[in-house]
Amino acid sequence: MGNILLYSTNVFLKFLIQEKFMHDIHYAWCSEDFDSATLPAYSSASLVPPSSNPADIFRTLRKDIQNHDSHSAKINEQKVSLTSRAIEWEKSGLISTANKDDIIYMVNNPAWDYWRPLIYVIPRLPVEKRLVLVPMSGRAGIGNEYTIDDLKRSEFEIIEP
Amino acid sequence: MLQSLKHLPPGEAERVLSSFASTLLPSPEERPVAFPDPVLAQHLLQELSRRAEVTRIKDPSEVRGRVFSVLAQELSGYALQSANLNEIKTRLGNRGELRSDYYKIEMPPSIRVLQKRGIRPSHIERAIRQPSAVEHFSQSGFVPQGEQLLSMFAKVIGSPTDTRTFTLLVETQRKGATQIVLTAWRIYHSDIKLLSRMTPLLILKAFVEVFGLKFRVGDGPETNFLLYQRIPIAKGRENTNLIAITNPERHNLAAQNLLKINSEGYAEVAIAYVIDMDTYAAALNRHGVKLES
Repeated sequence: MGNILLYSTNVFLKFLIQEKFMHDIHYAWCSEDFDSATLPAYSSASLVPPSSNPADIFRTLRKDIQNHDSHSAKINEQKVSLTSRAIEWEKSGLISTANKDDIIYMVNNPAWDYWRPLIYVIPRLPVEKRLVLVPMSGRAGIGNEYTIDDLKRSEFEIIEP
Repeated sequence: MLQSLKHLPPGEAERVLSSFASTLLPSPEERPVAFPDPVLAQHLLQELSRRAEVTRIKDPSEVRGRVFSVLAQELSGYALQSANLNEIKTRLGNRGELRSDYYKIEMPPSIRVLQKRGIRPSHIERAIRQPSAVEHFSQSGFVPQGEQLLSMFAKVIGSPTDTRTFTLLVETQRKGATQIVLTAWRIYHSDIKLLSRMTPLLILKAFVEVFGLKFRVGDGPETNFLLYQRIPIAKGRENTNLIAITNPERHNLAAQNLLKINSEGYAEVAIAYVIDMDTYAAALNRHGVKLES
């Protein structure tokens, strides 16, 4: 077992959508360290690249929001991801058509503030058995990354610096 | 709409584009689902890149951002093709999930009185459209119908270190995609007890702590502030002495409340508080704002 905490950076809008439309059950892609850049250079954990490093994702999102960057790769990726998810959820009967429409409208017409990054801090032990290691082909680097698709609100804390 | 998908019916185009989008996103799967038609995938990517005007852009991150921006627009266009946008806005508006500047603002004639407190309609509109902070309220477990849905918008005017800094706090009632202005207050930070993190509700409560009068609704306990409370009303008291205000010095006051009596004999109070206008006027006067009579 690795570190006792896991970290994941997510935009507020994603949190809100999962809270309101998915019964407060959250999906998170997480890492064992908040900032791989601060780890010893020869540890495998330091090899989580900026595109997967929670601290870098946080900094990128914050900068893009401050600059109101409408071409932000991270924000537009989130728009596509959340829109696709809503379509998928409706097709599989998890949400109604009205909910799908509401999500897609929110995703494509939010206040800038809704893209603000939140840091999820997840105690590892209670969720250990539900962690799925992201295979090398899905990772941007060789540091460990995990996904968890049924994270309850009581299983993580939110930090909004 | 994309030329590459014009041969498909809308529902199918939505499904195909969504499936194509998934192939461009990071995937945690061992073997991400491949897009079944590589020729169509190629056409889609070319068309999206052309629409995103990325040929002269060198930064790969910006290219990705622009392409995803066009993809998101297209995806939402297909997905909302048969949706009623007004109905969506009404639902989101009731739940307080519509962005602030998308709400229609309604200012009843009664709010003209606010001009006497130095608050103009343009100030109110700016606070709603570009708030420093906003909170939307509804009673827990209550299906939003636009009856007793409240929102509060706070706009900080001035820098945090300036003693003249105040928050313009606007209280509204939400009805679908409309915000109906109920009242507004200039709340000088030097007059209230500020906490490190102040929400609009906490600012209003801090204001009421200083300028509020005690009152009692029906048979409820004495208080200076109520938010979403159900209070029993004795039979026969529905229309008289519903709110008893403690005002021994007979000051001018402003009672702010949104409540209704239900058929079970309860007052359903969305919000209620009473401001001592003489004390408040004196404070405003100290800050150079003369309350017009």
